[in-house]
Amino acid sequence: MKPVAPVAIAGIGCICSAGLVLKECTDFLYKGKRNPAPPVNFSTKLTFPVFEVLEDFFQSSLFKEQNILRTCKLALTATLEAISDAGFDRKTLETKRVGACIGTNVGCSMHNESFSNDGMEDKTSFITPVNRFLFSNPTSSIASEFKITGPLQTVVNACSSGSDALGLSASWIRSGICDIVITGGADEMYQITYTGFKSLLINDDSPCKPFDLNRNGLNLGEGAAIFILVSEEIEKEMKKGPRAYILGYGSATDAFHHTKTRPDGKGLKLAIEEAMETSDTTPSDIAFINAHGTGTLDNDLVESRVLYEMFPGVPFFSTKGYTGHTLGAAGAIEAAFTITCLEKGRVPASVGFTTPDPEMPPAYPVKQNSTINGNKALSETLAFGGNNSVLILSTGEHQP
Amino acid sequence: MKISIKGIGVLGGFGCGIGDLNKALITGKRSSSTMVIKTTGGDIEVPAFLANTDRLKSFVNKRDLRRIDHYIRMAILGCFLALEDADMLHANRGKMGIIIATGYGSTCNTFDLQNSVITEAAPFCSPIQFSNSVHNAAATYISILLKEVGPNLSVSHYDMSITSAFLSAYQWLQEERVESVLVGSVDEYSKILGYFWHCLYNKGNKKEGFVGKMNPEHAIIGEGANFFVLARENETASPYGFIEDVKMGNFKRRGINLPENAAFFLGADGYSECDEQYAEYIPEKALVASYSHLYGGLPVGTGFDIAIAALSNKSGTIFKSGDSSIFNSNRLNVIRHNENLGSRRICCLKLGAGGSYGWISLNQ
Amino acid sequence: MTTQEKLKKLIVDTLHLEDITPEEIEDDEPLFGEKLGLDSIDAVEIVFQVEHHFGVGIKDMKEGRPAMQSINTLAAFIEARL
Repeated sequence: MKPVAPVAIAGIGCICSAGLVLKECTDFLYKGKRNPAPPVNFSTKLTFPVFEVLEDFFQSSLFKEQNILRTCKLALTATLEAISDAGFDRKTLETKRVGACIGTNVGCSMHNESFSNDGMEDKTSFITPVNRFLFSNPTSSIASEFKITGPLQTVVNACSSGSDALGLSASWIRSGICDIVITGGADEMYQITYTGFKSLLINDDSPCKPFDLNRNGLNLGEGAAIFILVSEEIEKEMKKGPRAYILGYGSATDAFHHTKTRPDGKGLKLAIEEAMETSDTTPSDIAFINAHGTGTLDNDLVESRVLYEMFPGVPFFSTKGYTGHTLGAAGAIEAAFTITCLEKGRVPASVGFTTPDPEMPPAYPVKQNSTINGNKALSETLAFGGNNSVLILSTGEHQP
Repeated sequence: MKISIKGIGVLGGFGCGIGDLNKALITGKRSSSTMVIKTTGGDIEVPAFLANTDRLKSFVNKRDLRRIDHYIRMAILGCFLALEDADMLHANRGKMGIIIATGYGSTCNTFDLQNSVITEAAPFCSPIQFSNSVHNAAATYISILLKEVGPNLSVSHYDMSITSAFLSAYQWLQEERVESVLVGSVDEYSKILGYFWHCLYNKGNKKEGFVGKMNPEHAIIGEGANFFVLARENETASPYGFIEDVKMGNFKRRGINLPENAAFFLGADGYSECDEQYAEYIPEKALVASYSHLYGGLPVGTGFDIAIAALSNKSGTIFKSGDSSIFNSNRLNVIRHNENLGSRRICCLKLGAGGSYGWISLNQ
Repeated sequence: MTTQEKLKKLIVDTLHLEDITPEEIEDDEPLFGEKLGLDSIDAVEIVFQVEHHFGVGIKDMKEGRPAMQSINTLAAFIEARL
């Protein structure tokens, strides 16, 4: 792959259990605390801890869209923050060619409703929820709320959806079909995924421990991170300059198994190679790696092997211990953290890691909050179905 | 740079394979089934165009299919038929991307799963059922069966799903990210959809009445898959023609810029509220057609229109449209008999929810 | 029906093993061998089905692996907890 032009990120917004805005989330990472608890968004007999947004976060007076999924509310909240971070307003969006490309899982599934078609011929109990399912996902909510007029795409690549959305949107800017793209990922805590992960026996019943010898699965989380990507022309008009850049993106598939990580890490390696080639970067340029690090036995083992082989000595960590695995939002939230860590010149301790696993190569995640050098970093996500997606990001001129 | 269509794989109410679609265009033959949905209030009958996946056995061995439901089977068969048509089943394909679009996802499996999780006393679900309900499950099985490790994308955005998939396929080829893309879409009939249709459109529904206006020739629930092998054009031009442009936007907020000298294959599928909007945007005297009487109403119907446009390029013929009253307009020049395509390009246009539109234009 | 027979039928039905009958599975042959062609997701499916049909839970794969060596070991695991 040939190197491609960097694409400017004008603003970022983020919401998850760690905080309601990006700054709050980032500050939380360095505190070394976490408090996952059994879900409160739905009733269940299971008690596996999760990372939910417990505050009543949706400021309904700020939005026209109201009767929407929680996933959409998370996405709209982060979008409004991103727009304001970019120094734009609603008017800016109405006058430019704006597209939206959002990754999600739950936003494309039926909400917490049960459908049996017995005696449900009345509209309120049957047709209303079906309609909401058919006509409500985060991309549409954003399009309708901000009256955008460009292409729309909803990426459903399971856990890598958020990173893939960012990479695909960068292409929309480069090819000139959009002036601005609102992109990222969003997913809410959802009974079906919660139960589903339990059935796969990959939920940890205690706070998750990515890369640790005693890791026993993941904790789910929820949230959204939204990025405002802009064309070169708009970038030039920005007084303070853009906040960050997407330098490169790569994605590849394991072609191995739908729930098991390919042991030789082939898909992940190919995705890393493509991201490095398109960003014209070498491993020595990379200040740190924000790993996927879910805390499952397989994922962490394969990831540590690939990182040891391709990026020896480069610091890495997982933020899943602070936020839980936010599924379709994970790639976007972690890309946001990658940028804020670059801005701070510090990376957080990879919480949950204490004891090295002798099966892994001698490469361990960052144990304490540490200083880093450089302005480029890599964020990687691995997904169900063997999707692997990698972003190379850098800071911009404007650092809040 | 030209992006040409190298192969097509389709299945639906008209049959299985591009040959069957071609036959249906000529004869107008399609076969709808009557689906019976049991409810406490008695049986309900709903018409639907169903797809048969028996031919999958000739491509994939039985054991590899054991966990795979009907929705995913349709997608896999569509892919194999497209690769076979492109003569790329066994060839070294080079770096290939896979993009799969769906409007609804695997609804039968997902609704069952939701029901079991939400209504069962015990909070458990089948892990196989859960993993098959993840939206990229179809793309996963396809990558495994084809051993394709290239970029793999699943998208789901109602009736814009297939256009957004083509947009990314087009960009991957232009960026030279891949040498070819296997792109297409799939949607399935489920009893929930059938019941929903019954509530809004079924004449036999005495309780709710016949609330939605619709065209009974077209407004039949459809299911099926449509897949395409796209590649940058080399020395030999493909008889199916090439993809000229892919555009998406919002017609309510900013109108539509449509290509000139085009015949329009419109994604009207018999539901009057949407279908009647087309007349407002189509240039006067342009030839238009709707073919949803052959494949039914489904979010990814535009994919079948693209396949039909490719057949028109190949044969130099524009096939006669379904029921012309569907558009409820005298302004439109609906194709009533097969006509010569001439030098026209073909634009497949879909108007969708919330004012979104998508079009894909093909030329010879 | 013995627990062994119930298990064989359950495995053939729920894992859709169309080319094998319950009778063809031996009591003491490895469940995860060439013959049945089962993999990791089949293993967690068996865990779910055992919980669903016998009310016997398997906490994780550390517990599940030795229990699922063969029909006999799985039957013994279940019977000890019924």
